[in-house]
Amino acid sequence: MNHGTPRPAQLEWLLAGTLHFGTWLASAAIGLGLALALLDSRFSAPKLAILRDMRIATIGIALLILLPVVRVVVMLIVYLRHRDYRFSAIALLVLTIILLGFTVGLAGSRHRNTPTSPTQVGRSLQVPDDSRESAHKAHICKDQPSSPIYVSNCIYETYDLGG
Amino acid sequence: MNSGFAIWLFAVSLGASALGGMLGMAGGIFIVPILVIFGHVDIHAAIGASLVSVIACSCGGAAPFLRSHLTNIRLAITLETATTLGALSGVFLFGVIPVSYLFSLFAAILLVSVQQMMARRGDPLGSSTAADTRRWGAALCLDSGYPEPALGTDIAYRVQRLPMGMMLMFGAGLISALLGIGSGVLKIPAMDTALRLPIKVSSATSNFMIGVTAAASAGAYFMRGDIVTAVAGPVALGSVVGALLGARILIRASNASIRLLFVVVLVALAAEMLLQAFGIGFSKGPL
Repeated sequence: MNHGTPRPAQLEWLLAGTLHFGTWLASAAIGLGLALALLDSRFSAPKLAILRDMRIATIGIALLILLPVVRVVVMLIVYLRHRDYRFSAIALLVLTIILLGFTVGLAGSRHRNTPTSPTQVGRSLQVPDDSRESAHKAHICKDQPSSPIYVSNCIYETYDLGG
Repeated sequence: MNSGFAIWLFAVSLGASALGGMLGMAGGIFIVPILVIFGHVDIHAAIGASLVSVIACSCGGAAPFLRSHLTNIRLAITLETATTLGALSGVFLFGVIPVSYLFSLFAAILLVSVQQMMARRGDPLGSSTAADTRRWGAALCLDSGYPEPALGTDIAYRVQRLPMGMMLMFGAGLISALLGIGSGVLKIPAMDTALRLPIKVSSATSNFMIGVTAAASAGAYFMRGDIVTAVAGPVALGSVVGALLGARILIRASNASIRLLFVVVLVALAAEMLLQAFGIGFSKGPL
């Protein structure tokens, strides 16, 4: 079973190692971030602690979400190196679809239907073509000094603290 | 952060992933209802956290399957084109579908899993199918074999009806993105009925695929800000530990009493999700 097909076996061990190592790395980051946030909330005002220290845990979650993407990239590289162009194309297609999903999410964050004005500000910031539009945009920005990203971050960070 | 709530989330996802791991699936199908019903977490936040948990289960549990050559990598990447496309469609629907529909759909999926758990899965028999059902599998060199320790040899298998399998996988990806589950419920019929894979291969390959499927939707929700770290962090940690434990405590899936326990739990969760769908759950926490 092992002498006939050395190449796929190599790929399997490479993927196993990537996933194993990646899972531990991401878990360590999440664990560290949560522990820091818990410790901090003991000694200071809890809401402020969340705002500062959930960042490491958030990075850990981002790492975990990226791990399967890295797995597809590893497969793409291995298939390319072995000149298996058909499966390189398939891996590239999967990668494109995933990245499209990320882009859709990023666009969705600007168009989010929050009842507050930041959404509208973000929307008008996106319309660049007309000069009248840009004048309009400047007007809105002047009226609302707080940047939209900051405001939406606040909503996101304090969203689950009620419990 | 409320440390008690974090520990509760950790414990729940540990238990759910360990139980799911014993049956060869991710724990998402338990995590979402428990978080919503007992933790009063908003269903969108629960789905986001559960998707992260699915990725953790998939990545944390993949290595042993890969090393023992049970995972069919070529088949997995081929089917992932369909599951990720389904997940992408789910992302578009996610914000549009009313919450009560999500609850009803979840209840329906829970009931379908009950039905599947009652029915025994067996290795698909007979390679009596005509050559044209194997055309795609042969063209992409997807046919493979896996080592069977009991026999000491490789068992070869052929991949059949790839187009039908791809369509079912699209549905599985869609459901996965909408409900935050690994969606083994749709993958199992796809693998058994359409592709006709041996059970060991289909479990390993399905586990390998759910990570990428969930990453497509979880990435979109993360960018959109729908994944709440205070919920998803403890859930992810619990799932990694639970998936490792579930793989260690090797309880046979044919064990009748464990199956019965699962059926009871799934029916209870389905009933409660239906009640929530109609707005008469016993509590509506405004977390």
